[in-house]
Amino acid sequence: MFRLRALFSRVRALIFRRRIEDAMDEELRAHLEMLADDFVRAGVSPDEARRRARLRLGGIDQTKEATRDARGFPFVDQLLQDLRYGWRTLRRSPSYSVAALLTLGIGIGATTAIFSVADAVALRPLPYQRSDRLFGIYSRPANGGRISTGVSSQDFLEWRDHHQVFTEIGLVGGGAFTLIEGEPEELRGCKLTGDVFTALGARPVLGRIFGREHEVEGNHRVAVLSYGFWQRRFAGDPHIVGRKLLLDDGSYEVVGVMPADFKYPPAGRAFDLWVPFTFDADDRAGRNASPVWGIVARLKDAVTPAQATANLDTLSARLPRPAPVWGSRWRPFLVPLQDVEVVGDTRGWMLLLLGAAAFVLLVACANVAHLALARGSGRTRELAIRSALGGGRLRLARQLVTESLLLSGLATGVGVLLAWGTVRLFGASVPTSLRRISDIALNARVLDFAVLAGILTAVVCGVVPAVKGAKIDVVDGLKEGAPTTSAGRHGRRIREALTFTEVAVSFVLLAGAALFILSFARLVSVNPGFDVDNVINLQIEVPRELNRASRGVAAQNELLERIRHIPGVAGAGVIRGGWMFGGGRTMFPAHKPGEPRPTIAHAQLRAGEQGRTSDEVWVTPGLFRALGVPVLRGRDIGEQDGLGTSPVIVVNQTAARYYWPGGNPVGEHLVLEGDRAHEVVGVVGDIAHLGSDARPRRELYIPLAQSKSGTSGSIVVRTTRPPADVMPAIRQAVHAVWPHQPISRLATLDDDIARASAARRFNMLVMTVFGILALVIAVSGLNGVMAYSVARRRHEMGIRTALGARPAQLLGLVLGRGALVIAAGLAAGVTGAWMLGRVAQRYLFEVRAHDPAILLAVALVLGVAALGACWLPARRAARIDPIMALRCE
Amino acid sequence: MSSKSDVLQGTLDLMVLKTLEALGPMHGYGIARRIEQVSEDALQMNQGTLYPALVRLEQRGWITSRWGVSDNNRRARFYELTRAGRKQLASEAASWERVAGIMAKFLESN
Repeated sequence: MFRLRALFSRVRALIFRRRIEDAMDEELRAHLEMLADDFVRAGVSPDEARRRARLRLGGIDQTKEATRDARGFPFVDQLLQDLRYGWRTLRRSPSYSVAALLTLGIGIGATTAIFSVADAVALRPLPYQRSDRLFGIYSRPANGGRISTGVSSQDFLEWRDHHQVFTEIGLVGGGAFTLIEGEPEELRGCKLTGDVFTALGARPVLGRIFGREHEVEGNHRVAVLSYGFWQRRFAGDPHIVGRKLLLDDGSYEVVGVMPADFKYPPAGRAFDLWVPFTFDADDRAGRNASPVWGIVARLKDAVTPAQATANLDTLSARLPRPAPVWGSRWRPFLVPLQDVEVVGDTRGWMLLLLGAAAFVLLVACANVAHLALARGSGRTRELAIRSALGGGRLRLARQLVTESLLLSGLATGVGVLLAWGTVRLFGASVPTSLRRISDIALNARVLDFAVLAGILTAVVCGVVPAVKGAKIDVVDGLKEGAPTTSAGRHGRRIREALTFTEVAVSFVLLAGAALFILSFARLVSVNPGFDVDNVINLQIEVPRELNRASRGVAAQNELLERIRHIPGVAGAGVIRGGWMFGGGRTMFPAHKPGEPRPTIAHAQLRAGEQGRTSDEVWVTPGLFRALGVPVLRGRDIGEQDGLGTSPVIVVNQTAARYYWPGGNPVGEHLVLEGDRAHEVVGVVGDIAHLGSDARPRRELYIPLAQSKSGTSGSIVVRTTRPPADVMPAIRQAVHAVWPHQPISRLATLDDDIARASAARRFNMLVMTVFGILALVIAVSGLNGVMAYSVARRRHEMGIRTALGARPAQLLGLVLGRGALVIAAGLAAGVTGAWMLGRVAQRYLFEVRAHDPAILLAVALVLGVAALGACWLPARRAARIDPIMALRCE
Repeated sequence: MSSKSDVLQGTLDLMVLKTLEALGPMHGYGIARRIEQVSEDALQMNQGTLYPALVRLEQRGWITSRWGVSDNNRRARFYELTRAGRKQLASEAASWERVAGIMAKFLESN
């Protein structure tokens, strides 16, 4: 009860501060007057009376202070007082304040900007209900290999009907759609089963989602729209449910609309619509075992992923399967959906960039701490006076810490502004495929992070000067000509440690920048093995009905012919497989006839390795010519290589060297799928897979006409004119042959390659910026500190010069120790870069992180820059006129 | 905070309450003088320590204050005992007497 009233009155005291202060003044004044009156009445002179009155009262200010403490929140009062004082202090030395503010602001800004990217890409939880229970299901070889692939429809249907471990399980396929009513528009969407929506916990805001009845061909022409698409294209028409949409595949009825905050898939640009996945007779009969589909499932609460895997395994084991090609069958495994939707090794990559940003912040902090120390030495007298006036050690330390917090608080503000600006300007250059949600924004989590960074900064920068400042020796401090603390032994060691840290960390960042720049440069200068300019990549599927009727090949040839006849086109062909053209990798353990098929030790195959397999790629005649890949031996795939004729292949140079080192492969045979021996009819040049791991792989080119698995692939078109001019004509040709078939992609190869290397480019840019920032901060910091310390040593310099020291000697004196520290810092930096090199190696292309030439070059650059920064002020010091120096203090 | 000052705080509070009961509403200076008088000047207190005590007592609701005019026409703040203050005074005075009684008996017994 007391506490509440007391609290209340204290809060009031805080708010009505001024009024209360005035009242107290008046009250005390009245008291003094009455006291004085008494003394006067006792016969004392008025002046003496007033003096005695003050004594009896016991000191006005003390009384006020004591009363204030009893009344308000003394802690808050002191804090406000400290803040005001800190602000005045900062304003008194503007050059320090601005430098510190900028430096810290840059450090905090860099870290915050990268964190906001990391947040958008990897850290934000998925926008679904209880997303920790959501998993994606994949298949991998039973003997533990690292290859993974999707799940077959056979498995999915079995699991869906008989599982015991999920609340929902759904299948996701692909699909491309074109809206052909009104303004034709290519839509982003996919086929999936209705269970995916329920698994994600999403309910439509209008209408309903599709159910199992829609999974049959014929019943499948329904669609669920996204909120954005509904607003954009149909202006939020409230009668949208039941409306028919004319897509390239037919007339679809809209059955529902998803809410505004729903997004699937969570990464990349938003989808416009979702349609049902259809299972045909083969699927339902369990005859379709190609593991190609994505699965989303929600685990029941009490079930662990391991239990679920076991359950699915048991179910799959019952199914009939073809003889496994890989030496083992596929087994399912679960991956948390959070990790699935993060493409590739994004987490590791983000950590790398975050680490680099943290280093920049570290350099900034060391810099400011250094400046603060150097400056702190100039405040000895001030602190000594405060100490003499009764400021306890704790109070002084608190004052200094508050100043440090004030500075870092302001710097956080600057940093957030910088981060915001950077994100606005460069947010678009983060590779789209990685962005979980399209916007990289400074949301609450990011701001929290910035504040945390600010506090940490305050601690790191402020703690050392605070501790030192609080240990002021009052007597020494008040003496005239007091020696500055930084000139003392102890202070010097700390400052040297700071310099050491700055140089070491800057080195690591610069080395990183150098490595990434080199890596990127090497990447873009790789010889692709063909002429990259003026090549168009057209991705379109042969209509299903044509394929079924075995007219697929003929239809495709018809399209190719039309395209070849477009003015400006030099050649065209189809390629399927090969990483660059939108296909996955089909790896197969090809072998020579008579030899046993190689068993693949899957456990040893990492992503990107071939082991003893080669890549199977399907091509049509004319493809190599269109790409500009030279035929080195024998012949190209020709029109004569069709379904009925003997199976042939063309191999690339890497494959030729592998299978027949030193010999001529033409006329030899290789056994491929289905145990058929294919005759090698030609050797072509290697195609480098640009943009990522651009090392040539062993590739075997099979005529598309001889493939049994359909005719889809990328149509590669070489143009003699700028590709943009030819694209409309290509579109027309496609629509003429297959009017309802949507074009998945029509772009130049340049664009595709740029997209593929986007991640690397981004890395390089970020690391370069960080490296430069670190260099600038470190060098300017060293300059500033050296200038400051030299300025304080003018007196000493003057004496030495007067006693006969030559400028060179002075220079050596000032620089000598500094150079030693810089050298030590470089050595530490090299060691650090060496150790971290292993981590970064994964993201580098054709560049060794431990390359001594690079490290040496960076050390040289940084060393010269650092020494240069110190040399200029030192030179000025060495030239000091002794009389001037001795005169002023 | 040493226990000594706690005791002093407590006794000062009690003296203030008693003074206000005896004198009725009074300003700070008057209270200080009365305390010195009653203790027959054995207590030469630092009059400034009165004011924090007054603030505390007011926060606890045992006294209230208002502005008024003193006997020589000066504007001053007057403090007055509240009902809760009277109760507090009674109970604390009783405690003191009890303690004094026990101590007296103790010291006698030797």
